[in-house]
Amino acid sequence: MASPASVAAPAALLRLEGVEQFYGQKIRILGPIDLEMREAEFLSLVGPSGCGKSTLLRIVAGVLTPTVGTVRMGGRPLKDVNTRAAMVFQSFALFPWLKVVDNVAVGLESRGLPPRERLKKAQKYIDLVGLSGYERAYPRELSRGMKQLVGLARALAVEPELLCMDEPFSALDVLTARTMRELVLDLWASPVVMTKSILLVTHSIEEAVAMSDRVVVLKANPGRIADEVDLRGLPRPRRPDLPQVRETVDRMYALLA
Amino acid sequence: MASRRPASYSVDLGLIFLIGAVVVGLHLGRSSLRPYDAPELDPRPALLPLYLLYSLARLAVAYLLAVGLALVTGQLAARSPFARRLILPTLDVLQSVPILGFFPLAVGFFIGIFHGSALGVEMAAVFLIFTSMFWNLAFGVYESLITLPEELALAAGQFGLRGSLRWTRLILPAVVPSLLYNSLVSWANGWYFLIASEIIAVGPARYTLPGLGSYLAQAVTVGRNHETVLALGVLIATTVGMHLLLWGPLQIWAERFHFEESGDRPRTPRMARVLGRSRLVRWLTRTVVAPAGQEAIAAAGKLLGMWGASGWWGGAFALLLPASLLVAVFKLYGLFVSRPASPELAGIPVDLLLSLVRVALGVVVSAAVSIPLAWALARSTRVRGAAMAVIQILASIPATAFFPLIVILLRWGIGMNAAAVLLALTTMFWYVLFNVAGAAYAIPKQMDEAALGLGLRGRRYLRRVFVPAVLPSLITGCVTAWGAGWNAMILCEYLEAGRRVYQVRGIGATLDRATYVTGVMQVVAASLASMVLLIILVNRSVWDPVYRRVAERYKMEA
Amino acid sequence: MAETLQPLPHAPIGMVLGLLEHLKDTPGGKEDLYKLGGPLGYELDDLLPVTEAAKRLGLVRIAAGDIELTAEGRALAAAEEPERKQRMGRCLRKLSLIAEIRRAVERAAGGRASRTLFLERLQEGFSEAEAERQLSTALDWARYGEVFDFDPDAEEFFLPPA
Repeated sequence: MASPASVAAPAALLRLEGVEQFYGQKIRILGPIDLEMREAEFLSLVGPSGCGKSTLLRIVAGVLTPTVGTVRMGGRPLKDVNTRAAMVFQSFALFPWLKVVDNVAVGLESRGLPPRERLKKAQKYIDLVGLSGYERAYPRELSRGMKQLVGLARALAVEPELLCMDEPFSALDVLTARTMRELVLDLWASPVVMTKSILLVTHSIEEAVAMSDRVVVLKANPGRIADEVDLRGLPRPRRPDLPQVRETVDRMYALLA
Repeated sequence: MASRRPASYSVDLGLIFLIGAVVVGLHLGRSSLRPYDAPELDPRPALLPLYLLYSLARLAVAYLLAVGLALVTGQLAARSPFARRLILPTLDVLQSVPILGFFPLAVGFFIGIFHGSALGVEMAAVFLIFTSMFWNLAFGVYESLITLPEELALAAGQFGLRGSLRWTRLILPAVVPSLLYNSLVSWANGWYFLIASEIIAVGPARYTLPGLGSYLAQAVTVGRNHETVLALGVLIATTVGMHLLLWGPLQIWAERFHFEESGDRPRTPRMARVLGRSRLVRWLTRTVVAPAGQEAIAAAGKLLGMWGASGWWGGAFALLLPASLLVAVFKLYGLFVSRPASPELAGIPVDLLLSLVRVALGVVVSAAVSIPLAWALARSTRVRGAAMAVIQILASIPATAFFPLIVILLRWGIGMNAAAVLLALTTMFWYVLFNVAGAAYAIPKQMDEAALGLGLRGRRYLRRVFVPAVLPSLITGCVTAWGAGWNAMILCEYLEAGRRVYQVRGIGATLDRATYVTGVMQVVAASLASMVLLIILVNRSVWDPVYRRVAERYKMEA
Repeated sequence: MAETLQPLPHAPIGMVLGLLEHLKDTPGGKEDLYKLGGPLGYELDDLLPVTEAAKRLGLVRIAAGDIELTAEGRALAAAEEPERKQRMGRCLRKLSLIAEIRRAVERAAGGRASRTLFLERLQEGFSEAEAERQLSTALDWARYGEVFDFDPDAEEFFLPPA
């Protein structure tokens, strides 16, 4: 007979404690934010422009230090860049002077992997996102969707515990964005990919509902959490024409209004 | 992680040891070196290749030093707001100082420490060439780095790029286009001021180094015209050769470092694209230049990464520049406080005014002639590619080379005033033309077609379409010409040709007389200081606001 | 060569695949052409090359204002990687320019063929700018199907490692 206590709750991977961000001395952009993210969870941050969601993501990734508050990764406070996370950027942020394979291997290089292993790993993730054949291409030769695939492969290549995505599909056309969303969900579910926790920032409610286990809604001026919606009950795949999905989207629009 | 790796402490120690060794070496060495003694240059043309080699060596050493320091300085200014506030204004002031302003430092420090020996003089010459190359490189590096796309810098940070890896993967590639563009400018400057650098004089002391510049100057001074032409020919051939074999391939290689969304960033010059069709050039790029470039980036990255590993060197270096400026100011003050004022000082304001008129005239004439000329160049597709390179090469020719021509004109009675302006134009004009032509080429074809459709031709086209389109670049060119004009005045208001001295009243002449003839430091200091102050004043009160307004109104939307 | 060369429509291969994905989800793999435009946010300029490209590759059929997946198109859309790439590779090799380049790298010593030669030959029938574009598009497609790759430093096409 299994006791409820023996079913351990998944550990908190990420915890934001009283995080606030100020501009200068007086202007509060964000906070205070208290947020918890579990392992193997797909969490979305949704909100209008100016709600500080991108700032929050950068704080989580460790490229920005919050004015006040702590970020804990696996219990330990973050001091500098979050090496257990990797970011995907809205504008792709690829190095124009590096070939695709070198772009993907960039994070591995800084972690000190020898060249042969770097290449092998980079090739693995290039194949995984479907870019095989383009290893020796330069970013300027690629379409926007492909550039983001490089960004995705680059982030996955360092095998982070947490994948942070900052409006990754907003610069893409509708069809490509759709293909990419499906790809991300496939990779998330795939046993080949270690990364099981994803933090997605988006301005699209439809996107959040289509992908996440949980959605955190942010309000602007200053940015703070307005609401949290648990979507784990909603079955996948979440096609936009399903009535349940449409209802949830409507409900969330109402929340923001 | 924030903890420092043990390797960085050894870098600290290594650098301290190195500096200590240099100081001890200097101290020990100075007593054993003999004073330099070679006033007159052997004028045999057969020695020209050797002289060229000497000059190239000095230029190359000065250039490498300038690039290295520009990378360090520019990166420091881009990274730290504290350093930026110290470095940028200092660079701004120092770049307005004419090369002659650095003579006292060159002589006092380098030559003095080595007791007038050959080594000291060579170092002084390299230092002087360095001062004509360094400033724009440093600014270029700085501007490249602050305009780096934000998300790219963030990505570099997020994926852990630090130290030498950050240099080789992010910083160095990002600055290559601007570094290359500014290198062309720096080399043109270097050639132009070679003469001034190879003949260093302060008061009675005169040091002449064997080289192309001194050869040319001597030939002109003594009046041997066929040697002048020969030296000039060697100069032009060398600059052309460098464009074909070095700069062209480098520009082709540098294409991969351009950001796609660049609007104002220097794009691949047409000349490089034209060169790119030549198989030889492409082979050269592929087999020599590209691999060398990659190696250079890797090596530089390692070196610079080691530098960056020690934190406080950066801060110390940032303080060095303004500190040296302060020291200079103090010395200046000391000159006037302790001694009676020289009578020549009273004439300086008028000298300044006269020179101001000449420089201003030069700017106006340059602008007026450049506009129609650039228009003509832009319309002819055949001339296009070569035009820019030719302009760059012509800009390298020192005004000194035109002295014999000017002497002829003077004999026909044009007067020294006009002669000085004409001479200055030989430098100033190219800067304006280069910028205006560049903008003219960049006018979108659709705009021309629209103008044609609206019936705008000839003068009306110029006034309504062409001039507004090139106006921002025209202003940039004029500002550069303005700065160059002042340097030119130093060469043009007082000249020695055919064993005669020709001069006209002006601040350049005053400075030259004080430096090369009388050696009165007060006059040297006062003329320099007043010139620099005037340049900065006009830059701030005239050029900056004009440029801002023009850039707002006339900027081309992509 | 010039007379047998039909110009390639300039569409990124990613968009062609996206089109197939979209059609895969519609009933019968068929759609009104006009519906591809507005709702998907495509402009005519972007759309026509994509549909044209899909047609040239034998993946769709266009008739009476409708676009429909062919059998090959259906199979490709349903396939997972790497099968999808292999199928696409076979479709690509039916296009003359891509086939020619592939033959050239297969036959050449060292498995490398100069890009400039192809550029010059294309310039017999096309303007310089268009010839460049043709080669870029061919390369983009060929890379996906792993038919050939390109080395920018040596300016040569070569066979990708298996």
